[in-house]
Amino acid sequence: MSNVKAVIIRRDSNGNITNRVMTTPKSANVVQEGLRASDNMTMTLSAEHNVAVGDEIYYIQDNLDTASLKAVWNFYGSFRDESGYEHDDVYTAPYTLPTCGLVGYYGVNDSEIDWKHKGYYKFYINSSQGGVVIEKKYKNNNINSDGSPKSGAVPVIDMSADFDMIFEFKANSNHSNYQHQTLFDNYDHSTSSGTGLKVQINPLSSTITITADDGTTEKVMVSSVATYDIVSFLRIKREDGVFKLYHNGTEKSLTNSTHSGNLNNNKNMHLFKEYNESTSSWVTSPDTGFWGVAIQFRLYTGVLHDSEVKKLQISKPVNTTMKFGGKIWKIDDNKNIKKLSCSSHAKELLGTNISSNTFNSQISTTFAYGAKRENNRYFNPDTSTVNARPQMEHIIEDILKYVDDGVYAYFPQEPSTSFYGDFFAEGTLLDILKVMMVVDTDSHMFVVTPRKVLFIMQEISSHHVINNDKYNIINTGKDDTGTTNSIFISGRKGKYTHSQAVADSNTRYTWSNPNNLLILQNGYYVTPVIERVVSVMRSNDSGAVTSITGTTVFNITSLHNKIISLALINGTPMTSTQLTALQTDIDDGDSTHFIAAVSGSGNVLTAYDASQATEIFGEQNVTASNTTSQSTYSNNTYQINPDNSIIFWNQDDATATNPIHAYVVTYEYSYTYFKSSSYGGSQGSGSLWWSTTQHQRFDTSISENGLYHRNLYVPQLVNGLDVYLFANRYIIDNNSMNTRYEATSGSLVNSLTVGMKVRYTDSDGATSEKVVRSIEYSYPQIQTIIELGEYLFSGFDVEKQTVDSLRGLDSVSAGASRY
Amino acid sequence: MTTHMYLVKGSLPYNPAFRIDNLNNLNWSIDTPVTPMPLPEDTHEENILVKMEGNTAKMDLSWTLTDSSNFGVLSRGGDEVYSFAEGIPLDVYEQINKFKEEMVPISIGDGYKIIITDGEHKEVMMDEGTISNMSFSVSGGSPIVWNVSCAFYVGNVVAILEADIPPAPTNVVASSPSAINNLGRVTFVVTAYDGYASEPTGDTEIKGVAYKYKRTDKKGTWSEPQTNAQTSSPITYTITGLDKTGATANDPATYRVKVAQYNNNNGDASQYYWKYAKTSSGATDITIT
Repeated sequence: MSNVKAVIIRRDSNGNITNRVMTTPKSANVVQEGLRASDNMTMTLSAEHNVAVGDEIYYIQDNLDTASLKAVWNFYGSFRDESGYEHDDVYTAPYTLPTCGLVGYYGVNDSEIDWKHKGYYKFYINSSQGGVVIEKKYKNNNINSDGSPKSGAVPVIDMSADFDMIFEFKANSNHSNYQHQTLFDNYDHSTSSGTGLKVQINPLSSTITITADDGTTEKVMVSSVATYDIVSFLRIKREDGVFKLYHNGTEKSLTNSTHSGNLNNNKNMHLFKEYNESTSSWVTSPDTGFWGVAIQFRLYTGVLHDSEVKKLQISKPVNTTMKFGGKIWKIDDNKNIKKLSCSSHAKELLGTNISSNTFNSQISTTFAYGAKRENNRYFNPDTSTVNARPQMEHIIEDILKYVDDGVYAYFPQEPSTSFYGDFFAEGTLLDILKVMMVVDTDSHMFVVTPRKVLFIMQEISSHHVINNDKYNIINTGKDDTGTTNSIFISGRKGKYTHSQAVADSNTRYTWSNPNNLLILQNGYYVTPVIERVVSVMRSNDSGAVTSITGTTVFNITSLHNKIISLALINGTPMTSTQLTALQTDIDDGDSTHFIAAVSGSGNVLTAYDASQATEIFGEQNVTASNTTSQSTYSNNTYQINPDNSIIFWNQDDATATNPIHAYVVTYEYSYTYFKSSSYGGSQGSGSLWWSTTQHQRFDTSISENGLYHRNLYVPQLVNGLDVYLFANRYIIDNNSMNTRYEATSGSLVNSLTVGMKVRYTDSDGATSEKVVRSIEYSYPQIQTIIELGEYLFSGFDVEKQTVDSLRGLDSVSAGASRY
Repeated sequence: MTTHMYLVKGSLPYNPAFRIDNLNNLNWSIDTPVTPMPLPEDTHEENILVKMEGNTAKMDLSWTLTDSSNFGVLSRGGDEVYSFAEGIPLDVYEQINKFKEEMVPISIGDGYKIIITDGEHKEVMMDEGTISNMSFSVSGGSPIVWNVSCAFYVGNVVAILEADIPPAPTNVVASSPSAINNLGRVTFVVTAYDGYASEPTGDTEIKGVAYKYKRTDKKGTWSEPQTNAQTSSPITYTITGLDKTGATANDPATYRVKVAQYNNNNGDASQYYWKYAKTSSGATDITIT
């Protein structure tokens, strides 16, 4: 009997298990690092075990015996089993969460589950649509190549004899429509009389029903138990053919409690809704869906001692039973013991290099809310609105489809903000996630679980107390490794090409008034920073003209595939803003265009086709001093002003005339800004704050702590606002010295996970909130070392990063340097 | 005075409990490592003694194993008197097997006590810890006499159970009201743990305070934890009936009191987080008036 277990699995190229070792390790040392670095583990096994470099390895550490544990679902970010037997929810790659009406996580407030579970992130389940299909596993992996069980195969969750089941949950609905809420369904409807076992609750009538059928005899056992709106710790065991039911530690009477038959079948199991294998559909009449919060489900073969179950019931909640999952990368075999060095799945995932090559199998895609990806560029394809801006959680969701065959589970809810501009998925996945974490205003917990679940949610305060009662706490003093109060940040230098029509009129031998060059982004016109003018085309006034009559709405299908150099409304030239809007609708293939400036009917829109224009060139020697001289220029020409506006020199027209000319300006620009914005400075100075290269400082911290400067290169961000936000939030989060604490416990603390926000009480009795930054477990020393950090210091913890992924400014990935 | 010695496992009532009635030797030792840091050009009196490590206490005991009923159950009544219920008679080999199979530590959480009681079966000495070595030996010259030796380390055996129980109180202030019928009293005022963002509810709701006490001016052992159901803060409670036999005005009786908060889980977990009650002057020894 041991509270820890090591599981080592070898698979063939098809993913089928070829070797599985389950044993108690002689020792294990696990370090969970969260966002800061990759988890790692060293473990020693006695030498007879068949393990090899490259094998998957898992470490399970529980509050009670792990030997007879056949399945445990903690509902921490997924429906994956943490017993080592992989009783996971069935999926076809890439992974998506089951559609059992998941509406999020519970545990933000005391009342959502209860005081005890606050901050433990448990699924809230509404199974009106469907439940969760759990793949059944068989002893000795006794399955065919297609995954189906061989004849006579015995399930790992063997219900032929004694077994024990524990369900901890909170039922949230006692509506009369939901009187058959299913917790567990291992009942095969496809046989004539049904075979197996199912457990259903009726919160309205306060009953729990167990149906057991060995294919011959069916027993329906009922117990009177109130489950509505309370946390239930339900234990059901069968010992020597007799079923017993315990609710919150008290045995409840069961009708028809004797059934010693073999309840095994070879169909998949189901959670939260009953499934009919005959009709291949969920049982909806009556509705068998569960409404409530799932906390933990456990299945054991054999019967646990009552004291063991009591131990579980009175223990603190647990998020993960499996503490480590990864691969063996080195084995030291001294013939007595094998020392295994293991790197985590988290390292593999977070270290995966993301680039345009990652998306070779699908170069372009449209995902949530119309956002698009082309290669590794995520962008808003509809510049007239903010609705299709790429959101962080959907970017992550999209990337995960192409990493590790899409096996990772992720609940796309956090981080939840959108980028203002394009986002380039480049660098390691850890780099990408860190950038998102900084830009997003919320503080997040972050973890990659051993069962390949990427779990990011907002930090929630828990009621877990760390104080001197159980821990030896060392204040590790002030820590300035992450302190930054001056930052020079460089984003990606974008290069975009844009064509824009500008209408202007000026007399011969004069410069026109400045015309703003504008680009529509997120529904606003912003000014591009011109890098290079590709071409300027000037209409000859006699080019192809299309006239369209309308009211305020004009049918523009005749203008499709054209670049309009000049447009008149009832004879008046459109402003550059109006013209850009018209061109945008044309380019989008819209059939109609709306012009708010006109009213009534019979309005005429006249459009000039730019293909009839002639190219003009910029003069090389245009300077401010000679721009008024009529003799300097012999041709029609143009000039880009320092404020990124454009002026035109009219050389050709007769002196007396004042003709309207249309110019199509094609240019390359690096970034955009809002010219009249006072954002970041006085009005008109905004362009500096929209630049992709920025410097920010936090003077209060500099005067208090001295200068702590960093250079950061963030090639994922190409929009100045995003760069600004990154720099701003980074410096806000990191401008102070951090206080760190190390808490050592002489027991295995299973109830904490990295990222949890706990209540830390110091020796003077003062309490503050701290976030668990890392956890180290040592077995058999039975020691847990926990590092606690400042609450705010959650986004971009560079303490380890400076060691693990230090990169210079010429790196292609996010990097940091410091002096 | 007749004394009895028991080696017990677990918690009350102790089962298994082994009564050692044929003692050969008992050695209680404490190791208190000190590192000397003699300074150059200084006398030995000026040597700086640095206590970098804590103390380790160890008990070595040996006894002769005979056919007996010494494997039994040790329980304690409300009057602090122990009673030992003998088990079935076992021969030497059966006892060795019982030691092998039931008594020796298996789990890291297995805790042991060595209890010595006086002629009135009251506790005179008790140490908690774990067995680090146990050996059984027989010699060819005396093939029927089995000697047992046991090495026992004193200390807190780590609790592997992570029970959901309340933290220790934030503060406990004690005072001693006047004795009644020559029986002393200690009143303690508890400031409950105040670090929660909101007070525990449901299964974790705090039910009151637990306390235990020990006389310190003369031989005394800790009482069993007792509870008082109060939830209002600050909680005030008076322990009554404290023995002050032999105390005088110049040599008064003193007690130490430990207080914990409890909820529904403490009893099942057999675990409390204690805090010493201190007088207003900060003393842990409370003088009984």
